[in-house]
Amino acid sequence: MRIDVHAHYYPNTMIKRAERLGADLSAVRRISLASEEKADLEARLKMMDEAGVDMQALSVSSTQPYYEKENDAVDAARESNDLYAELVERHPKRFAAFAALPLPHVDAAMKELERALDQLKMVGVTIGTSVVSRSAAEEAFEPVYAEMNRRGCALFVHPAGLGVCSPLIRDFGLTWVCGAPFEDTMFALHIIRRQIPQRYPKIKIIVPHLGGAIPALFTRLDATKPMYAAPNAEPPTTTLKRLWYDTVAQNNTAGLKCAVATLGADRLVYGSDYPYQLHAEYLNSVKYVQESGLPKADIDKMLDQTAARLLGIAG
Amino acid sequence: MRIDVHAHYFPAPYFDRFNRLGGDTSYVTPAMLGGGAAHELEARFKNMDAAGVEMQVLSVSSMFPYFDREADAVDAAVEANDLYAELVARYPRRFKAFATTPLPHVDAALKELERALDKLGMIGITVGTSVMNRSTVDEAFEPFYAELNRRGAVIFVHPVGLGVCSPLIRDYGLSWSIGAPFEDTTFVTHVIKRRILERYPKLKIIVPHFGGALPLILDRIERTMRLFAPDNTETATATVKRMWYDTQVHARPEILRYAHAVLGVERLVYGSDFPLNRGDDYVRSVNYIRDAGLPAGDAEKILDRNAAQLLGLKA
Repeated sequence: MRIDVHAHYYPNTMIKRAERLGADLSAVRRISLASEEKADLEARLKMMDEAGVDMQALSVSSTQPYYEKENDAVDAARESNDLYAELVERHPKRFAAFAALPLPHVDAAMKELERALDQLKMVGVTIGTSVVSRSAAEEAFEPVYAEMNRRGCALFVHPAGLGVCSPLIRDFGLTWVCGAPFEDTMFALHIIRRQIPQRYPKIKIIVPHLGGAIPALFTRLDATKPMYAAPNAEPPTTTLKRLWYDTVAQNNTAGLKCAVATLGADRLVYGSDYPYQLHAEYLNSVKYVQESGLPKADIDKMLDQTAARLLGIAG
Repeated sequence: MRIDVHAHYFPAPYFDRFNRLGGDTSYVTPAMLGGGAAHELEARFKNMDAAGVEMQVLSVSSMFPYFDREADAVDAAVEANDLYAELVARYPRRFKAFATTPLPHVDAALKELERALDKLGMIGITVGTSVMNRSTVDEAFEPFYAELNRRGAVIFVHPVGLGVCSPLIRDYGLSWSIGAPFEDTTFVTHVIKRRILERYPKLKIIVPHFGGALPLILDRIERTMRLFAPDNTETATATVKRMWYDTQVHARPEILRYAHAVLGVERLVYGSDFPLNRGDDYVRSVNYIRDAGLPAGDAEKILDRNAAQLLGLKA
């Protein structure tokens, strides 16, 4: 069963609220075909059909409800989760959804996590690579990880779109150029530092974009371990193999092969970054994996098996 | 002729001065034997001979004399270059050196550049991936690049270890694990954005570590050109292929193979990060290239030809 784990949905109401709350919507404004409007949904389903994609697991991208005022955060989270659940209810065989949580408000996040998973039947959680300028792996957020672990749920990570809070990236228009893959990598290192995968092994963490820079830095991360990890912690590359990574890489076959060679085909799951790849690019997000020259068994796993198992969705 | 383009030298007087001026020297240990004492040079030659390295081109690593006070910057740069030139003069067949300059002080940097290249006979320049928290290719530094272009100079870039000025990297002990490769990649995107090579095509720029995440995200950079470099007249790939990239990735063959696939053999030059990699690791930094299963003749190009050609040196 082909599940696209990295696909975004921007219902108009959700975007209008985000706009009112002063969110940065530049990443939303520059694309189309992502709303709840009939024509958009039809186009989306058509692209999915052409690519043989049975289901998209939807997430809010960087439009997380991480507002300073708890009311703002809670209202935004509830609304987007409701809107997503509504779409899933209408097309249960084509869509699943990751819940957004009103971090950094931990108690409210726990409440919404329970509501989203138990009442709205959402398939997991989506979290930003940082919670605004705070690490997503901060000690304060432990209860949320503990609860996700108790439930064994899937956690889809997505760049926060803050250019790792670096002026050399943000002030140069590079937030979505190199900033996003850097944020993916940074998140993985943050959770390694806090040994989150080891302490909460039942959370199924999915990092996008082949893990950002992770395959390119593979041995370096072990060689530099003393600088950032506890002496008795396992090698970082071992911890990295406890996570999963989606295949969004703008059709970089060499990069995909490097990811398979370092992380293993078992750790990769198909994603498209819809609507940032549309039409021919959407189709290519599947084709580049199929035509990569990797063993068929690996391709089948990546495209059609692993995600369904992770998300507990039967074919 | 086997040339190691990424090798560091830590002569005690400069090391001490840099420390006194508040620079970070913490990653250099006495065990590295990176200084100029007789037993240290002996150890260095032993390493080079074991790896078949005829020549190292020495640079200051991240210890750039980029200080706010011009006098501090100039005195440090002058001392570093004098010490390096002294070593090269003693062993001209084993060493060349990249000169360091007292940026951000442009006039002083031009002066020292002239002195280093003309009087001291240094083979090129080393610059940081940023000048403190400013882009290395900041508009203010145009005259510097114009002069380097006039000379067709070689520029060896090195991370400055500031975690690409991101608190989410620096404050989490990640400056050298992921920060440095991010700095490499960000430098490349800045060169693209500022059209440095379109305007100064005679510059010969060497970026370490295969450019960090560069080969993994080159397609992404290409796709997002309109976000950060809309006026460029050449593709990101074309600009990237005007630069060179060293092979220091802790001897991981999968990374070499994919970087080779994306960048092409002509762009790759052997580098080791000696003495941070020494002993068996030094030998491995050579052997892993030979053992990576590259097309016939490519390992030899990377190890023994490309750098010599780039630097204008004959066997």
